[in-house]
Amino acid sequence: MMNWIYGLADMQSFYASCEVASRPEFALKRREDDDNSDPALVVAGDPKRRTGIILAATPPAKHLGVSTAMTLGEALQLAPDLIVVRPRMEFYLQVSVRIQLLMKQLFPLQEQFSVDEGFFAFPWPSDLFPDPIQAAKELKQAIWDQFHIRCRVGMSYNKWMAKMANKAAKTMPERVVWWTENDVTEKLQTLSIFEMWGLKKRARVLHDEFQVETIGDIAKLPLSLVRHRFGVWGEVIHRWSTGHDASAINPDAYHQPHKGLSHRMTLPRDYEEREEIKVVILELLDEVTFRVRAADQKGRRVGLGMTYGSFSGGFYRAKTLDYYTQDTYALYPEVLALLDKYWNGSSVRAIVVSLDMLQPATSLQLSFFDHAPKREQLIHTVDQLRLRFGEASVMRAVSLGRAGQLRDRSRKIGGHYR
Amino acid sequence: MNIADGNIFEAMRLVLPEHRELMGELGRLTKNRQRPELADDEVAEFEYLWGEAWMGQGELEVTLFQSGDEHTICGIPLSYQPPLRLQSEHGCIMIALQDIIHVKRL
Repeated sequence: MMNWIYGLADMQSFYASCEVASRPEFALKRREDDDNSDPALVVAGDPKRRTGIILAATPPAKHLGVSTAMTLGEALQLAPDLIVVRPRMEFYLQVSVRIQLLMKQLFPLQEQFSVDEGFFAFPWPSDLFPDPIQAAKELKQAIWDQFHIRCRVGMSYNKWMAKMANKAAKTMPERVVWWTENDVTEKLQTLSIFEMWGLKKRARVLHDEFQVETIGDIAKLPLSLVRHRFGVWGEVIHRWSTGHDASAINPDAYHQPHKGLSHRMTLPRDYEEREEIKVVILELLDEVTFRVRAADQKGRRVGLGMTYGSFSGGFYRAKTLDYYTQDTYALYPEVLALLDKYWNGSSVRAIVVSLDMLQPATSLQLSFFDHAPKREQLIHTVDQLRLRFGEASVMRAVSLGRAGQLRDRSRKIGGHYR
Repeated sequence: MNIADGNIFEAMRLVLPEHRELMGELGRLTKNRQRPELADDEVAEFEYLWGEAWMGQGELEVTLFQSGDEHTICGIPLSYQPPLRLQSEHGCIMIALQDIIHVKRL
């Protein structure tokens, strides 16, 4: 019987690798089989702002004690000679899509998972891929030859197991691991639950409330118990603990309409005043609706999330409307209502605004009290200007105030410099 | 998230809008491939290989660019002047000269 082997390729320290590989003074010394042939280099955000954290570090930088999410100041205390590079997000995204294109050329199925990870799949046994380990090594080599970037590959009989095999590949000399159904008991279930990808805070809950130590311990718990504690996630966790996962590879995943869109911003300082928070909410909402309009969609569930000062606590709440819209003016009062209902007055460090339950935009929401067609025309014109001349080419007057973040945000991708 | 759909990884991924746009852009570019421009010496080399195979009943691998995609055919040339014909394992195939982008001796 022919089966499919799923693989996950994960680029090593991706942003830092892009920097090393694109600078001749480092690239020429770089070797695929020797992490120490890299300089001690980090990619870090602007040190003057809260975004001044380490986004990526080469293995030699990590050996000096530097880790991602550490502040640049902390990293420089540990390693004063560290080479610090400002992020170039556009460049990393360009490299990322090209690596995925290469994977697409080598395997029948491919799906990008994140900026530095991609799933692939191939039939096995098959004449084209007689040796899965060799196929993975060829992929690694092709990525190295074209991009000078190291990667590790995990393979198994489903996406979840491939993801976990990929983690295991970290410690293997050749950075390639292939797990079969026979490896569930010995290799997956013996891992600590804190090694289980995707659990996040649930790992701590499982440990503290159910005395779970290993992934195998979860499998021993009754499904109803895990489901009762974590809802739909409980079922996923339980399935994963036994090596089951039904996720298919969808090569067209990114060409399908959005199901929801959100924008998040970490603020440069704690915001205390409602008036200041309102400005950022409006800017984020403008961005969300701009993207929803660009995709020719409308949504009817609007959400607001906040992370409080020192990243301690916060909330995320959403409201479902009676109608679909892509109009900031219609959504803004709803988001402010969420703010007033759920914000406890704490200082705010990060804000997220979302719009989901999206559907194709085919109709116009008419109201007796405003001039919807006229306003739609105005919004369309502003969208066109922004598309042509950039996000900050037309902005609201409030964005020019102290609270406004739009100008700074427009210079960044994902919160980091373009 | 709908577990019945088996789309857990799709539901969990975080993709920057700029990244998604770039993927779409590259996808469109790769789909709308243009026919490669051939240098004069490449054309001369293909002509030579074709003629040689026609004279000596040699087998060629011919790469054609049709509808934005590449196709490869193997066979023995049956004619030297257009219309070009190739005897392949699937029978006699007519080849438009402007579709040829590569010729290789087998």
